[in-house]
Amino acid sequence: MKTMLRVFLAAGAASTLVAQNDEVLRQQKILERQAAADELKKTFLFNQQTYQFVSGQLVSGPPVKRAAYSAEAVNETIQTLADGNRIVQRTSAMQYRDTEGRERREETSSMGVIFITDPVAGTRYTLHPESQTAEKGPMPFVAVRAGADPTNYADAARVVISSRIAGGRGDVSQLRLNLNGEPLTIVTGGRTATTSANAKTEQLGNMVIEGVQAQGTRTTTTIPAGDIGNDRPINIVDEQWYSPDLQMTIMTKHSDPRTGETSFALKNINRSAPPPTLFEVPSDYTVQAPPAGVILKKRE
Amino acid sequence: MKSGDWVGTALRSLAEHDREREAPEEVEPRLVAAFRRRRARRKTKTVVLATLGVAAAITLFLARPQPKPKQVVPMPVREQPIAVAAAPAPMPMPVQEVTPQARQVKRQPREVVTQFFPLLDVAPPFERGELLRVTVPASTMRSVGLPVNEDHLTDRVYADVLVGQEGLARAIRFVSYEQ
Repeated sequence: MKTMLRVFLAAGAASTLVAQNDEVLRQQKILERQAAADELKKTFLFNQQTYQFVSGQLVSGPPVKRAAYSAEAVNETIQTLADGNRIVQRTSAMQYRDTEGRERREETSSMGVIFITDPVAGTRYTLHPESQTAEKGPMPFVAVRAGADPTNYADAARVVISSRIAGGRGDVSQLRLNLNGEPLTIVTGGRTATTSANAKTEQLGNMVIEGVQAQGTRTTTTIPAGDIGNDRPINIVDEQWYSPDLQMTIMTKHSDPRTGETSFALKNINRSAPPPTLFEVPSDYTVQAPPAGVILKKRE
Repeated sequence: MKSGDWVGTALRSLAEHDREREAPEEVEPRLVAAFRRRRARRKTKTVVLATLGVAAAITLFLARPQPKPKQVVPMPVREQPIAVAAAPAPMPMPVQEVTPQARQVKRQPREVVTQFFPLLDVAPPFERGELLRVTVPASTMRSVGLPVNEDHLTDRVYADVLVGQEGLARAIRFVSYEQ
């Protein structure tokens, strides 16, 4: 009887200690993750605007199979000031795609993260190498054709939705997504009144870029004089080079006299399939859900 | 002689008279055994009560309400009305809330978002890019027509920014959290 009682008491005390230890470890882990998340809030620039990175994910169209590649994606913005001075910013990222359509993008900018999308598994990951953590979420579905079902890749095509908004507001570009199970429409252009009547498209023919055949298109959109208080017409030029082999645009140039020039190009394109490990989360990473909501501090 | 003195004297005489008389020998061991049994019962009772007390304390400790770990709120997305910049933007107030899952969780920060505002007049076709959760100065809200108090222009606010592969930020929405 005495022995049983002692065993019972010891077990009770042990379970209490274990429960306390679990709680302490759990709290420690939460604090560590929060610290890591704070560390990841990196500052970077887009459109001359300063952003502090928290998290993110890749957004792309239907998965492209049997068109593997790896390349360096280079972005450059050139802003010319009124006095002739120039501001040049250049960023790059490594991009990979395997034969099943999995994609990986390694940001070399201050964001310092790696995005992986796996259409086979229907998941996407954001890797944070510094904290060795990975955020896991459902892969976003993108509909890029008017009327297409955003959850059905087969119904989608490589055409960006463009529809006219009633009320004479002009043309807008829409992007329809199915993000984390919810449909979402994003207007990606058409902030002011520009109509398709003001846009002229010309074919630039074929050109080999980085060893890949590409077809060129140039679209010039004109904001008529007086539309936004401008004395003379403003021409905005977009040049796109699309590779049928890779089924993606491999070079773009965007020129707007108000903001400058923005260019994108894939460099050092390699058509061999990247190693499968690039599309997996390293075994020593802790996989977690995307960052939880954070309460914004209210100013007193 | 008082009556009390008389009774005392009689009792003392009786004790003197019975001095040689004792209880039978078997009475003592029986008495001792009975005493030990009773003592043992008391001890057992005390231990059992103490054990039950400790067990109750452990049960209460384990069953106490645990602080719930922060649960992830998936990026809230609902079908949005098409945003055109020329349209008046009434308030920087949230227009929708997160998933029902988030609503069920108590103490869970609720994510509320504005609609997406386009950032470009004329945008090249969107083929691929990134949707980034960032913080920006509150003054950014003014650039899409949302009112911001002068005192809060430098405060940082959360935002989702859609960036094309060419590096152009295409659209932005603002995010807040409330409990």
